[in-house]
Amino acid sequence: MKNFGILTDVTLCIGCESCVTACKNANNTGEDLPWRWKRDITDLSAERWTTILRKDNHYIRKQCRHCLEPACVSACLVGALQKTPEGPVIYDGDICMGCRYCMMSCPFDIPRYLWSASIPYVRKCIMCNDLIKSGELQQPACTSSCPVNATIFGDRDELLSIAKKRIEDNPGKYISKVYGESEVGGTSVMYISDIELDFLGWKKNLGQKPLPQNTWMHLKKVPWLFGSVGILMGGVWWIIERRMKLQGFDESDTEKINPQVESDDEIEKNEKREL
Amino acid sequence: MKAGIVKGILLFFMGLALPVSLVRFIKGLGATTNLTDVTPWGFWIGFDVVGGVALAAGGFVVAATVYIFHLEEYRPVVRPAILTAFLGYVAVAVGLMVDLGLPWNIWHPMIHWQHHSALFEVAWCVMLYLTVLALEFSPVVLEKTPFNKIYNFVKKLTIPLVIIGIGLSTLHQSSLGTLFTIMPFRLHSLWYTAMLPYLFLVSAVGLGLSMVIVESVTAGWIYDHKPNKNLLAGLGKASSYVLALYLLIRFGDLIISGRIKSLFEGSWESLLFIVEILLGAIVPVILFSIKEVREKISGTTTAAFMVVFGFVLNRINVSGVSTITLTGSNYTPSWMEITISLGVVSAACFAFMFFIENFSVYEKAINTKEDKFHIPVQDYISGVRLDNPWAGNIRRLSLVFIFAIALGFSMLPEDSFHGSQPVKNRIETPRLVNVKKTVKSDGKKTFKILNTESTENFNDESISKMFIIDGDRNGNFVLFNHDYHSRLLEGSSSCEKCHHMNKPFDLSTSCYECHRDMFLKTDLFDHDLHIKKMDNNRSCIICHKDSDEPKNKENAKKCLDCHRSMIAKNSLIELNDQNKIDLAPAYKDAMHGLCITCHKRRIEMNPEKLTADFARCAACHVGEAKDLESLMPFGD
Repeated sequence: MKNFGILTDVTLCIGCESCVTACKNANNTGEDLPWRWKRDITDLSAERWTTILRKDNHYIRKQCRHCLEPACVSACLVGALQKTPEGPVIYDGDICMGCRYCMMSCPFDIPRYLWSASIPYVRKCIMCNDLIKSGELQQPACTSSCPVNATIFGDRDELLSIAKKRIEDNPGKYISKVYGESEVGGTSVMYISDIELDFLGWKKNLGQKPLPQNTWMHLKKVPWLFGSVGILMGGVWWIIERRMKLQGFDESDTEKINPQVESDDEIEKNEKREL
Repeated sequence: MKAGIVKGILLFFMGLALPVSLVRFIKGLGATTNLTDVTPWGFWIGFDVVGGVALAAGGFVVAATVYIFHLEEYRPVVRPAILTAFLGYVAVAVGLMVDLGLPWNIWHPMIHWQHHSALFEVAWCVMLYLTVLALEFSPVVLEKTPFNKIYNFVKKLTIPLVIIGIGLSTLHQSSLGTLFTIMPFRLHSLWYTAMLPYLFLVSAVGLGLSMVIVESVTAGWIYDHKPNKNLLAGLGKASSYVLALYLLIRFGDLIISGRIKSLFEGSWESLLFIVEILLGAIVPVILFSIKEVREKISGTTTAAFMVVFGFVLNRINVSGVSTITLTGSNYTPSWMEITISLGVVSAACFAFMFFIENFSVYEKAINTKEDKFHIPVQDYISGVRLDNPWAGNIRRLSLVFIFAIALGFSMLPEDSFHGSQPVKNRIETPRLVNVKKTVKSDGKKTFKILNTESTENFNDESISKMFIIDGDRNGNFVLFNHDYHSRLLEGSSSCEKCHHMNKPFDLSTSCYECHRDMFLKTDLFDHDLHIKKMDNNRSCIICHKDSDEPKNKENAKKCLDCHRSMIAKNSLIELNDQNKIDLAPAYKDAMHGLCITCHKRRIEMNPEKLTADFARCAACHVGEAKDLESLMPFGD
């Protein structure tokens, strides 16, 4: 099975926003409104799954990166977010609890929430997975609508070789790095560019390590920890219990030390024993 | 009396939270919270959930002390500690229900397993631990009922339950820290560390012990009984050992990783860190370790309150405040969020008081209901009993509750009734600015807005006064040269052309009233010009050749019949008779796809000659977009 991806060449993009319109039409996302929770009307939102950022006379398309080892998928406690073998990270609103941990864990600031709704869901680019599965589309609406082929859809390995060839063929034109090749373990959506694209993530250097490893490092210890704590506590209890028994301090006495059932006779008894 | 006042206050907050939570569930999160896409977790997660779980840690620590380590002198605090833990976790669950977008799906982790998620681990542990706590606490309720068999059965289960409870608490207290290890890009370096799970676990133990002190002292104050001094001192001492270990891990980690240097950078975060660590750990550890302080109830209480405050602050910092710089968040909790949190906490405290008064949580049930020696006075007409203090108290409390609900309703903002609404932008009126116009050698005009306010020294002809029209002040603006317009529209008599059109709600005429060609299809053909050029009325016959036919566009000569020479040389577009005369496209239509759609259509018409490249922008715009700034009208 092919592992699909998207390659965006920032130097080719003319900023026409055909991709944004095509995405909106294909996914029926609705109208952009100036909600309180948006930084900007043109920022990603529950109604705008891809957008064009303007920076230093460049147009950069922002969308879900569909990480190879997505932090959001590992964060989702019910598995509402899934990484399909074909590449897209998809979302099932019927399973979702609405905890928004996926939004907290995304290093690229992608998932958005339908804050205005009484029954809210997470919204993000799903690489038109459902439309492609049903045969309605051959490729995502955004890539098919691009008039200058700045953003192209295809097999991730092929795209990677196209990207590397373009960098090789045009020496000096590009920064010699495919964004998304190995960041946070690699992403299905990649960029080649002549400006630094670090601003697409929360932090400048997100590292090569997939983020889920940060939590799995601790979580894999859980069964052992539970077992050892249980055995330790059981052992301590048993040892102390046994020692107290050997000292003639049987269990009925320990109950009676509880002041609520203590009577005068028993206080005398306890005092004698202490003497 | 004190209990009555405290209950009144608690009921006030519960009442206030009631209408707000109604709004939360009917109109959604957007209408009640200040959460944004940048800050999806706010006060409810930071305080109610992460803070709440830490505060309820006293239950498992004390249970371990008494049942596992057999330190019998702490038995009097077992029941209150377990009760606090139970109610604390119920409050956490309720707080979580309020925060979840789809709270009716809260049971989903039971069937949809995803064991790679730290939150999954927390959810299961909290669920199981809540059951364990309920069973651990159930003897207190069961001993008042005639179900002796169940009571004895649950009693026998105590030790296994305690051991399971300790295991579950260890797991989820630490997993709450694990939650935040996936977001190194959000948390400030003073808080983010791979050691977070260990820090959370150790601090929860220290905090739990201090919380037991706080609740014993508070309950003692409310019900006028003195807590056991030595017992509190012992708890305090244990807490100080744990907190010292916490300090060791935290500073050890900061020093080894070298992140300690951000403590001295003088940012507000470093100050917050110092406040947090001083309040939560350093000062209490010192206070608890001084024997004179420890043996006074006021001393232990102060230290314990500091621990509680410091670590709730720590949890809020980890889950929110420390993310502000890196995410650029502008989140502050709304009053509605805080009200709901206060309401949930108040309800838990109210339930705590109910259990204390009716069950033997402390030595025996503290009953404030009846005044044994009070003889009720009977209204001899209606037969109603008057002046019963219990009934009076109930009446006062319900009055407070109802008043609070009414107050809550009256404070609801507009959004609560209509759902959240998009932000309304204020439209600013145009400003008058001085603009310098320069014409480059290639004919491109550039405009520069001058900062000078003065109206003098305009000898320079290139400087003129213009209106800057930028209604939403977002920086995308249009310059409007008023003088130029009035000059063009024939001087002082031209005012009425724009300012006296008397359209409803219109202060002045919009640009498009005249510049319609921006939006409408226009005919480039200027009929009047042609008449004038071709000798007035005698000219009709030149174009409208057949005098019998109506003189309209269809029966006229085509443009190209005369204007052959106007065809551009080497034109890509082939001309045929159909488009010799037609409407010219408007600018807006041209911009919105007409170039490219026509090009596409041409490929379909003539696929052999034209390749797919013909419909690419780059087919015509070769090398033009190198310098976008120069294409912009008001570039520097």
